[in-house]
Amino acid sequence: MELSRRHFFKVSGAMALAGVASKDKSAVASSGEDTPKKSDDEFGCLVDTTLCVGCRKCEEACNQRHALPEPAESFEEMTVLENERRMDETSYTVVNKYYPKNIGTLTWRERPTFVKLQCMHCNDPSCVSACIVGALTKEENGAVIYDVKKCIGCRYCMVACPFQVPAYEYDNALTPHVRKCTFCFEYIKDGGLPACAQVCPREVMIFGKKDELLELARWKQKNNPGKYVDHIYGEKEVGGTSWLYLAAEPFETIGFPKLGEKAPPRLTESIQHSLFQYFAAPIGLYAALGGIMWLTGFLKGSQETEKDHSENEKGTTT
Amino acid sequence: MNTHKKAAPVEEKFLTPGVMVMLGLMVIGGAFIAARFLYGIGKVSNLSNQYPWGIWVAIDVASGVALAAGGFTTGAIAYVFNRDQYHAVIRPALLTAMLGYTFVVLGLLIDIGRYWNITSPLFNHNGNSVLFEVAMCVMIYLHVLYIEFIPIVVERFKGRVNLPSLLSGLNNLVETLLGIADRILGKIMFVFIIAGIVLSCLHQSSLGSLMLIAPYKVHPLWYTPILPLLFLLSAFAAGYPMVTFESIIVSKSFGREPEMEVLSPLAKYMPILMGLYMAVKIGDMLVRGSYVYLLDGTYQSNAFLVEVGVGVILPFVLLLFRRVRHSPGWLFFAATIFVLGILMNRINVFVVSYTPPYKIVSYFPALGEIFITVGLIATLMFIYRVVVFIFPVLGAHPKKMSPTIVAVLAMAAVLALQWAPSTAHAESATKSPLPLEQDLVPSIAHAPKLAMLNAPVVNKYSDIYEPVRFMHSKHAGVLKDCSICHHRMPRSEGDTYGEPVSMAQMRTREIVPVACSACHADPFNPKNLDTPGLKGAYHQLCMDCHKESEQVPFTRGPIQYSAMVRGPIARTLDTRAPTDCLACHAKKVPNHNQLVKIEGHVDARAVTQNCLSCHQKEGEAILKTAHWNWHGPSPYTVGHEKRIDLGKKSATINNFCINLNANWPRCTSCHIGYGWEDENFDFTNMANIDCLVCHDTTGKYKKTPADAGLPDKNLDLIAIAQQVGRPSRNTCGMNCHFRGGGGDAVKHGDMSAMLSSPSKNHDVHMGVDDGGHNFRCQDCHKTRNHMISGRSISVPAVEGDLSCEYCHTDKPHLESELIDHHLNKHTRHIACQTCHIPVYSKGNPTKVYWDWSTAGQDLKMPKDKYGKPQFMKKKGTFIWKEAVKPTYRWYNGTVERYILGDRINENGITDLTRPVGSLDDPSSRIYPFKVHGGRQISDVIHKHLIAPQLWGGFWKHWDWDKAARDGMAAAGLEYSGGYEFVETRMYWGLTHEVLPKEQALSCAACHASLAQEPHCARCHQEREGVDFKALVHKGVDFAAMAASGYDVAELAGKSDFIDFEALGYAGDPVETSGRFDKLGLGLARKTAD
Repeated sequence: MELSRRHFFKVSGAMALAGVASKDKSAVASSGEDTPKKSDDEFGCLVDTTLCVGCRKCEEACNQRHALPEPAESFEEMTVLENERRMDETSYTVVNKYYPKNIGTLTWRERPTFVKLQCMHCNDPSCVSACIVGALTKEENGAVIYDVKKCIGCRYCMVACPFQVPAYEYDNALTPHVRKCTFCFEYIKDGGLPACAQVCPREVMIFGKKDELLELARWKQKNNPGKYVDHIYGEKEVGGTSWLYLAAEPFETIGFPKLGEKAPPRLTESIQHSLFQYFAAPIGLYAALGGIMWLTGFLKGSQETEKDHSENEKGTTT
Repeated sequence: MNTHKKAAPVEEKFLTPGVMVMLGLMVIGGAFIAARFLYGIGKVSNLSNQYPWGIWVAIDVASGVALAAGGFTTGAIAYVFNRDQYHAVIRPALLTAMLGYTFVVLGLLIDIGRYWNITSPLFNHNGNSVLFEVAMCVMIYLHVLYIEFIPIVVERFKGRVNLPSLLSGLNNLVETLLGIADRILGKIMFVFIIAGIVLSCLHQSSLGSLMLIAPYKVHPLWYTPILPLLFLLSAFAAGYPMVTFESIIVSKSFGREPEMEVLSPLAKYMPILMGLYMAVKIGDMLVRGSYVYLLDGTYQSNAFLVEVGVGVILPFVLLLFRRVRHSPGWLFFAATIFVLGILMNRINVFVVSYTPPYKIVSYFPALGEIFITVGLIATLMFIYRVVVFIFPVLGAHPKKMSPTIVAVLAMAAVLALQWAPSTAHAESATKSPLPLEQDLVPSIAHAPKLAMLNAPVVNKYSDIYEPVRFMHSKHAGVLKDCSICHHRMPRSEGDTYGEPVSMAQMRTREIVPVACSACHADPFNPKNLDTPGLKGAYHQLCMDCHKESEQVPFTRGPIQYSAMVRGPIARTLDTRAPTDCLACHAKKVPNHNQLVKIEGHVDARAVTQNCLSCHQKEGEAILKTAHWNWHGPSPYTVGHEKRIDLGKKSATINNFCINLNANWPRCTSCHIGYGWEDENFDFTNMANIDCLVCHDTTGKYKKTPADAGLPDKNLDLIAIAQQVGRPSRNTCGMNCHFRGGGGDAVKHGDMSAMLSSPSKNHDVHMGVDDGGHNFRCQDCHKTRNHMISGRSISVPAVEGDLSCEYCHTDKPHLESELIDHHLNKHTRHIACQTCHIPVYSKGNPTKVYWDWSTAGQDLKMPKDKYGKPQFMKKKGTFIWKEAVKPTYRWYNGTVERYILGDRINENGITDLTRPVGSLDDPSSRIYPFKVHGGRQISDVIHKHLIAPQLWGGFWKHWDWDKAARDGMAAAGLEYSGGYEFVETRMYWGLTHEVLPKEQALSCAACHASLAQEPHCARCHQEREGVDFKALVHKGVDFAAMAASGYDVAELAGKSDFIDFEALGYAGDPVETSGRFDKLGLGLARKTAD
């Protein structure tokens, strides 16, 4: 019994150490990120939906820059705006048209509002937190980008995204990609512009440093009293996003989901990290179970059964 | 670890009907799996961008894991809590767990898109990802399970290893390995048993954490931060019911007695674990207040009620009773419904509760998903069966067996839950016109007329379009407030913020407007993000204003009385200010040098094929155009408004070359196609389209005059194709329209070769010299999908309306001077062209009369004063005229038209086209026309005009009778055998060759009353600095024109340019009053009666 107790601790201790050694690096590294880092270099775009006229040039420019498949209807076909659309594996951005809604006798707007949609490039992206292999990353310059080499195609990022942005090539049997707006990462890295912002005739999306854009958004609201609703969408939603929106209408009426201010990864990561902080919980559980096992006399029993067992076996096999 | 009742391989008949059913399901599932791997997930599933996870995740993975919980829970009770009596169920539970997790991984391989990359998580860690933890735990646990199973393998084969002959040499080695495994595993198995429990706890709970990342998508009935705890507790609770469920099924299927001596004691723990789960679940619901959703009747709330009521509470209550726990039937029932409850819970959490923010289609698993899932379960059961036949898993109790499948199928049937269809959102638009403030009248006469908005900074960011030709003075005149655009000015050099400016300051010239580019340059300049870039500034300002004026058409007054609308209230001018891209821009044509990929000497159709290889859509569009079909909708032809088949293809006739029938190869040399030589031309074959005749930029492309539209065979078509571009006045005009009727200026009074590069004084829009606007044809004739807007009296087909007012509005005069007020009042009664095209055919003589009756004779007539032939044997005698005063008629935009087969006017001249309108019709205005008279062949009996065969007919044999017979046969009309020549007349609208405004008709040219003293002073007071006499005579000076060589001397100094009485007025309307209103002089309108 003395011997077996030592034996027990020896083996289980070695296991536990191995576990800690292999995993605590990632656990420590990630536990340091409880509040997402804020970089001065973070770019964003401020979309002033009151300016958009729904010309779909951004869709076209995006399609061309990313060599996406040509759509069935040409980009000059404006009737497609009559249906609410979503980004998919062939389009990283779409423009939607929202007609006025009546509430009682109030009409909220006279003209349709056009809303350009694309990945919001969250400050604390759910997809990045969710991705099993880290194929999605939030870059220093604000872009949330995707590395297909790591991806296993589990689509958890799509489940996670509060804006329902990532799309998936369901019809690609062998090498499906997750598709979403890249914020033209490789272009803005070199001082270029996102294709949509570059082509937009009305500069609906203003490209710039995020903090300056927020300032500009507030400036616009202040200088155009009554024009905008008092809300900068993306300033606080799910922990803030790199793309910000101004609108003349309540955002819920022009297709934006109503979201809280807390980034969903804060909850899941805090659960995960507290569970795996220095592997305390698994090791503790392991130790507790071992203790119970020992207390209930399993070890003793097993020694006896081992003897019985070998005797039995001799008996049966011979 | 083998102290329980001896386990042994099952020795029964292996293939039973149930197994056959299983095999069948496996084959079907396998087929769908093959399809999934060959054609992708999309082909076999209903997974979408809205629903990325379906039943594969919910059942194959999440439920698989939950229902394999029997493995670790029995392990815990048997080994950790050391309750020996439960060892009997350990091996089946272990096997279930092992197979369950194996199939979880197989299910995952099917579900994940890049299955070949499944090892990626081993190398790419994301410590933040719940899924990463789950994956690692499941991976390790699967191995632990295999290790735990090794003793069973050892037990089966130790001392009995007998490999087939080839491998028999390895028998000893394998035997040794088994021995080693047995010895070592026996000592350290507890490590794996505990590890298995720990790993299970971790990933069972983390499976619940998976959905925590999507708080806005999971229905609040399920979404709770303690979802991981609920998953863990439910897994604890699911373990024993699953073991019981399985054990009883296995016993039944092998015809054995249920192992109630093990199961009944085990069942004692069930209500405890279930109760714990239930308490936490319901407690959580109460704490979070999510019970408010319970009874709202959605499919989610119903699913929740069933899950908790039937799947948790009912089995919990049942199992509280001793009788239930000791009756195999009742115990099986309670265990089964709890297992189904857990299954349903997992499906609910991963599928039913999932509400994507943008739902386009609802999710219900596709057949492929269902069959793959069922197939996997069947395979699992099959392998279970195989394993228990080989290995000592089940206790030894030989007896007969029965099928197991029915229960499983029942399980699958339960999956058919209710799914609510997605609801479509219908929104309605409301519009209410807003009145604009009408601000007043500075002098904007200084504004530059035309500006090319061609800043390099704009082109740098987008070069899709050609620069805008901005009609600056027009906008200034309409807006009447320069500060709308020139809204701020820099305070100092380099200042881009500026200070606001007012029109008053500009009027006093205190401030001179600055160019837009003074402040607006590159976009997104971090130093002044609030200033749009130049491109943005243009578009924001222009389009906002255009949108405003488009949406509020009544602000400046609708053109209700435009002659271009039918009826006084038919509609307003619909394009007050265009808001689409092509209305202001022209699309740039890329260089086709590299794009045209053909070599060698090719024929015209091969070039077209090459064009179509990229421009299929354009080809399809062409097939619908009037230019291709030579017929189209004729909404303005009275009596034929709804027809779409009128056109020169067959139906219309003129008094030039008369009609197309039987004359195809000659006439169709102006068709935009190749090979229209007879009535059998294939209008559906895009290869017949002649792209180059419109898109040539070299000026070299020419069609052969009588070869049915085919080009000159010696042309280098490839070189021409490589330089295609937008149509120009060269292609539209020189190739066709300037030469209508077979020669320059023959047909149209307002178009001739002179328009290819006219002076401003010839055509103010198309003038190329200083001050001319150098328009292309399509600057006015806006083109969409190859449909070209514009209307002609001579042909019925219309593809889009067009009038001067589209740009110039119904108040075209600037109102910077008082006279503009009077001029703007004219627009209700007089078309722009009437004053601004005082004479037509200024440069080249045009035909005004054509007598076919002399054709075929050998007359000798000298050339006329313009050097034009007065007679040709083929065609008869002509009259030509140059610089002609138009004929004026009331015109409301509709036309009476002679259609082939109509009866002629036996009592006079037959009008082939005639403008409709009258003095009393408020939508009519006075328009100028060229009138072309003709004498052409007609049937003496049937009294309808004859379409003779000229080409290859009369022009060969000079026999009118034969020509008439052949032609009428081709036209499908009767010919009596007798012909005569009758007088016909065509009105041709005059719209081109507009003179500069300085050369419009003067007031005095028409209004004799104003030509005399005291001119305007009949009403207006004399004012210093205003010379009334000069004012009323301001306008075109025919004397000066005559001096510069135009044949207009007789028009000079007259005051009767328009014959008012012929138009129905009592006299000069200034004196005799207007047609609806009293005019300023107060004289009553003298009516004819």
